[in-house]
Amino acid sequence: MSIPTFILRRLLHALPLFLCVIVFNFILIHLAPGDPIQALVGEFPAPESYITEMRRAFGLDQPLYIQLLLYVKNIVAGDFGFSFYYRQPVLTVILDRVPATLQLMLPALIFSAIVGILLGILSARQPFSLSDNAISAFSIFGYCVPAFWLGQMLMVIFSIELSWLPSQGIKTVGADLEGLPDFLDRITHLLLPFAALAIRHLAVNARMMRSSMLEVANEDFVRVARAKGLAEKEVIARHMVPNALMPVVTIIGLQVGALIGGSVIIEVVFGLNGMGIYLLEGILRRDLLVVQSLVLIFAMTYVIANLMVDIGYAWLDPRIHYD
Amino acid sequence: MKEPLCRQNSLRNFVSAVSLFLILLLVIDSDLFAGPVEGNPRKGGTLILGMTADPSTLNCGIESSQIVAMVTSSIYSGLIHLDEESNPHPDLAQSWEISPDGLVYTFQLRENVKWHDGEPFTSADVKFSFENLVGKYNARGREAYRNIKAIETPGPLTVKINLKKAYSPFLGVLTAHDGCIMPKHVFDGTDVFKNPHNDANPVGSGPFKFKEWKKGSHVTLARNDNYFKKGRPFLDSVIFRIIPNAATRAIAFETGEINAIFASNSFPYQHVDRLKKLRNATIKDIGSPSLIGVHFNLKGNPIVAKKEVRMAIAHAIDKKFVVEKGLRGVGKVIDSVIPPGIPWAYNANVPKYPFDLNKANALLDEAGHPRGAGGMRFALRLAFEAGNDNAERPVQILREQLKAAGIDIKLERFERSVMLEKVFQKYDFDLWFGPLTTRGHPALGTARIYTSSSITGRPFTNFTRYSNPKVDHLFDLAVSATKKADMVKAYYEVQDILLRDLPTIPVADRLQLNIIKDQFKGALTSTETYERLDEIWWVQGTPLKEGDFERD
Repeated sequence: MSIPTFILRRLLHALPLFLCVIVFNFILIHLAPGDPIQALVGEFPAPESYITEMRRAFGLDQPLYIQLLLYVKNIVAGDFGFSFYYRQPVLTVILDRVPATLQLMLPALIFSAIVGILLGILSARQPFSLSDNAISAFSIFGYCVPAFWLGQMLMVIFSIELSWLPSQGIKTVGADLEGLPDFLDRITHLLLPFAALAIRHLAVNARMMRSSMLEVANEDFVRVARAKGLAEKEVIARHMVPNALMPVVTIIGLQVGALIGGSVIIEVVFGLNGMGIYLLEGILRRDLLVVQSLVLIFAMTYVIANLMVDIGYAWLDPRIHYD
Repeated sequence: MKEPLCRQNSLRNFVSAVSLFLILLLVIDSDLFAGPVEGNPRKGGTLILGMTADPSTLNCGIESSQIVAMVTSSIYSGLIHLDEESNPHPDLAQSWEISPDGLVYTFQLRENVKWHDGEPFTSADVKFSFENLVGKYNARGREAYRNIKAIETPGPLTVKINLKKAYSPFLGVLTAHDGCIMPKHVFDGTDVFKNPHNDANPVGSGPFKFKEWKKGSHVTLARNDNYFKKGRPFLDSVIFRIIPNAATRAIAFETGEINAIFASNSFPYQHVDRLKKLRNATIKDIGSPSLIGVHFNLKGNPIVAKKEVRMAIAHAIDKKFVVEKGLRGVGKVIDSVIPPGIPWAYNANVPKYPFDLNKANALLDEAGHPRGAGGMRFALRLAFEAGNDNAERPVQILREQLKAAGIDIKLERFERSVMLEKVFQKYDFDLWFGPLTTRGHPALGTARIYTSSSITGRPFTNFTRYSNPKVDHLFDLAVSATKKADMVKAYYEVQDILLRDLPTIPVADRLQLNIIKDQFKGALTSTETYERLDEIWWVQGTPLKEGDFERD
């Protein structure tokens, strides 16, 4: 089977999964106590007529199964619905917030993958050497430290004490920058949240790569490669790394999910206007369609990430065929 | 022996280098040079305010939450504004007259007021706003606006509001927060919930014009050069920076990324001790006081329905400790349900329940609840809002204090929307602890909690289900009183009765803290600081001469 056919088949397989996510998610949020209209009305008693009017306007007066059917129908048509809080289409508000999350997540994912793998290889070259121990110590620290705590510590050190970097936001508001200055401004704003988010994944990847490398080091094909008289660099680069990468690639795929979860916390700590904050706000405000849409988007991201991992396998290991 | 010495030397060098660096940083800090500048306001500068979340809309005609009003109060205007003592001052209305029977309010409007799109402002806009927007949808002022019988516009600059019955706090709901005046020509004949001006390009008459709203990041307003108050506003622009996390908001203030935090729901109370130590900033308690206390479900658990039990609980609470440790000292101990923050209505001579464990124990024994196994008499549920800093720490202390009296408190921590449903709609609670705002007037903030007609099952109405015809009558009397002395007398008596019947144990009046960098002057003179951004000026701006600007 060719790769495009494989992708298509996998996506088709994912359809029932998406449907399950939609239905399950819908039921879950409607089972949770809390009324979106009351949350919207706020502290002062609103007249009953106003509440009824709002309920009708948002379709919340319909029986639950009708609401669910309408919701599924709308999703299929690409309509994610209406945000009660913002009184705007959910999609408009989400699209507004995608860039911030991507700017945070993608660099963290790529950086932690590449640097983590490199550190793992370095570590595994001479187990229990000084550099290995240093990397291991760093990895254990990185794995143990909670992101929200690390974020605030970074802020205290680099924003308050040293005044080197801004503490929050995605860019300097009020300064209308363009081009390179704008780019640099964004980089300085994203550096701390990026570090707080990436370090944990970097640590995991480094540890994973190290143990995977040590495992393949004892394999026969490595011994053969060495016996053939290949230089150590060649042995590592051409024989050990591709084989050791397999479990790491799986982990990186799974990290997409963890990064989405992590970005919720990091976005709140650093005041970045991404999808994570929007999800949290949505839950607290019982902005039902927002929560449903975001969870669906996150689930889709997850499925696609896993699909890419599967394709990555084939590329890494010629023995794997998709049939 | 040499090496450690050498190391010590290098350490010392390092420490001195770092200290020098820090001293240099301090010196470079421009705030130090700013110093106090008094005298006339100056023109220019940008004020960046921190707030917790996006406003839901920029249409204050349909939404009255504080988070919306923080932004819209600078875009739109009210007929009046209130100073620190809640005295009314002219805004869109230049002057007003109240008929002796308190039924007719006649407002003379300012001349030559223009909407941000250049259209003239007239009495028709006022009529339209009350009849079609704020009067219809504004939840906070609703009670007051329902009392409007008719609005007449005898001239383009005259508005006559006729009330069904006298309503003493009426002027208080005519500020930009509650009674924001909206342009008729923009909203007439449209679906107000879908009007594009709700989110983008709101057309107001206020000191600042809308410039940009980047959701989740910031809202920017720019000076309205045609503002009806001459020479105002002084600032070039105002930016509302959205920072959801309180710790981050505090840090952003310290680093100067934001210059001010106004309004009770944005101030990072957990970090008040650190913020108090900042030398280049002013913290001030200003805003409508709130009642923080223990509220009982009188028609729920039969144990709390017993007055002796409620009195015992009151005696078992060391309020001073709750305020000092639970509220970090950011509050005052209170004995009445109307806080001393409303000085004219506060009755200091209500029945009091001083901290006295022996008395509490005796009362509980008398009520027929002797100590059982483990020294406990009975268990009660105490509900509170998760994440609410007014409740999170105090409830832990209350649990320990009541344990000493043999009451086993089970804390029920609810997320806000769940709490609204459980406590206020379904009355599924024994005790509730938390803050209730008074809106600076008992008719607005206190009556809704204790009158029988407020037992509606809606959030923040009479959820203790306390019902006393005498109290209902006194609240009615006070609201329709045309003489202040009569009103005060009624409120004094209400407090006396409420503290005898004890549907609520008042614990504290939470200070409403606002903080602003000293580079900005003129702020913090209004009940709701965010309603008066037109008076704030920046010390490094261009000086203005007397006569260049309108004084209040």
